[in-house]
Amino acid sequence: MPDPQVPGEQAVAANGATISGLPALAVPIGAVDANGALATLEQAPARLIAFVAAPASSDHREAVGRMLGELARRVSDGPATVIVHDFTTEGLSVLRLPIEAARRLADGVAEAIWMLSLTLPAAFESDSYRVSRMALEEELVSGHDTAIDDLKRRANSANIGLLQTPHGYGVAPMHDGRLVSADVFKALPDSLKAEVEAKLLAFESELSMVLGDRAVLQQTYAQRRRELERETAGLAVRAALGGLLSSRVFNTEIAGYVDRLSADLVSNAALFLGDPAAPSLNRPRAPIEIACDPRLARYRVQVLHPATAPARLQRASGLDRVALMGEVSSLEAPCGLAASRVAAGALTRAGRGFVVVDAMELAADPGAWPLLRQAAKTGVAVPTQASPYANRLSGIELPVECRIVVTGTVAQYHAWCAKDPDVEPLVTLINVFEPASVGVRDSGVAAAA
Amino acid sequence: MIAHVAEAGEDRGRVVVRLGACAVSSPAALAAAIHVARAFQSEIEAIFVEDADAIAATNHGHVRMVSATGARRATPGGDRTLAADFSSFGMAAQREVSVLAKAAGVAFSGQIVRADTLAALSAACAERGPWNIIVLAEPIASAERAAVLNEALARVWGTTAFVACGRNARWRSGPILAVVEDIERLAGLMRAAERLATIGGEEVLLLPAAEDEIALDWLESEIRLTLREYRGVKLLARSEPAGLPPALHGAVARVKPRIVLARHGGQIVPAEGTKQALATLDCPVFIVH
Repeated sequence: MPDPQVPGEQAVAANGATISGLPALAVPIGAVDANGALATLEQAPARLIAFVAAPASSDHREAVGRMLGELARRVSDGPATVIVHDFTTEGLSVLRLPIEAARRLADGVAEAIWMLSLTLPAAFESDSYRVSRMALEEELVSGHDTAIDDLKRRANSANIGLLQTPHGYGVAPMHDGRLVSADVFKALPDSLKAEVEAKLLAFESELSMVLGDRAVLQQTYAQRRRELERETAGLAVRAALGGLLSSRVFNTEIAGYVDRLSADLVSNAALFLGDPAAPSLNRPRAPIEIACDPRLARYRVQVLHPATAPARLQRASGLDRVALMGEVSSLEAPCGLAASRVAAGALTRAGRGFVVVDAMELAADPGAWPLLRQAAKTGVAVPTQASPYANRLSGIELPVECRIVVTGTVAQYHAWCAKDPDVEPLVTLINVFEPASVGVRDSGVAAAA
Repeated sequence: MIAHVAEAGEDRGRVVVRLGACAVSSPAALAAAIHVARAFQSEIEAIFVEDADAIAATNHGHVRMVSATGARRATPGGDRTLAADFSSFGMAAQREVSVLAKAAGVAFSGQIVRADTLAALSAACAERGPWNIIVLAEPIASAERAAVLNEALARVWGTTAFVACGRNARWRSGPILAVVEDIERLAGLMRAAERLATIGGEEVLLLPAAEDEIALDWLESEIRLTLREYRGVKLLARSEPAGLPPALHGAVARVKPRIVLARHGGQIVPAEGTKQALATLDCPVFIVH
């Protein structure tokens, strides 16, 4: 039979009639009925597995793809999957948000981090912080030094010298600013000697206490300095996150995340201060620098949402676990903080759209069907953990809401059912481009003739 | 006022670094010493002064020893003698300076003396003078060290300037700042500042300082007149009340200078409260008489 789509070639019926009066076909024969059959997928529940059976020709496959693309275009947007850092477990946490709220959260956090890369160094360079810190340090050091100075002064007035050595102090009797030698000391009357020894003992004891108190003073200083740093960072963090905190788009779950984010930023403000020896502490950092800074990766908000219609039609390229379920990659930041990122698999990337799997490829990969079956059953995809620090990230589950479409021939479907008894009850067969449909179209041509 | 140090080979002076016997040297002070020596093409002599009384005390059974952590020791000496400890520490301290000097191409010599600090400095400056600059390597963190600085400024002959650091001093890149408190010292301060700026090509800034607003206005106008002859020197734009006593140290800190030049007995380095004044500055101070 001549191909009706080849220009210049006329199909001539047995009675001499031609089809030159008919419009050129844009789709294979039977496509109208195929569209009708596939339209059932539009209303199908999430995680339905359908086997779309069609003849094995490339035209028919392409047509099925086009029709599924058209269906994907009509699919309504569901909530976005948002991956954030879990500041409690140092793992990852999954939130489900309306797309507008998700994008606002991601943009708002990125903006706040960029802003903090400027304002936190400035806050720690400010006069008020420096003055407060210097006052604290002065209190610590001068508190100790003043105590030593005061003790030395009192000791000198009592003719006792505190002689500093590389390892501490010697407490010795002095006279007119000179050390009293052993011979002179021995020659002293017993009563005077006893008096001097009592003084030596008293100053030795007091000096021992003053030196021993240094550790306590240092601890107090460390606590007060931490409070000062938290206060300084808190002001900058509250200012940077102000817009997010007051946003009405967010629910209590997001508000909770922003609160924890705020607390973590305050605790780890030093991450933004860079190298203290760097001469250009206040140099604005380019957004790309911040995005690539592994130390700040914990503050990234990752939104997984099919932004376009093509994204809602995912053709699984490869059927391994990474391609279907996704992968969590993690690297240990230089400062020891975890930085992780999720590369979503086709099952999550499609959103509420379709994941198209070729029956031949499915048959060739024995591990793929159990994965698809599990995802359809549980509604979650568990990404592979590519990191050596995977234990920390265990348990992350991404939602699966797509419809899974296996394309192949009727024969392949029956072979699959025969091989695995689970297939028939789980997989809905949609048989398009039936020979009967083609017959109807052919009959039409014949009738016209 | 002349803040100068003799060039290497002149044998009329050098940068004398006084290494403390009981404290680690301030890196900022050592860096400043090297910088001064390079700027004046001079040399460095490091003098480690052992405390003669402390060493003598180890021979007396009646002297009691307390360790730096507060623990008491029954006998002064123990396994090691204090003299050996001083000697080891002195050699380590001198090695630290010699490494820096060698890296900067500055001639270095060192000596360990057992004497009173002032006597040791006086002897060193009298031996080769009068163009010496003394750098106190220990941060001025106690009343005793502040007293040593003030007494040395008053009593050691053969010096033209001192360099000292508070405990917060650090060495960084930045302008050379001269705090001008009287017009008579202006020319000398500017010459010294310009000389110090020759190594790194730093900017030379002048900050007028006075006790009250009227004196500050007068001083500033006088400096402006003089500055016509010095193109490379810049007068700091005066922000109220930058040059007045309560705000002066803050104004200096905001400039973030590499080194600040000031006179002894003024607002930056007062004769009373030297320790506290130096602690508020985060750079070495070049102190002129």
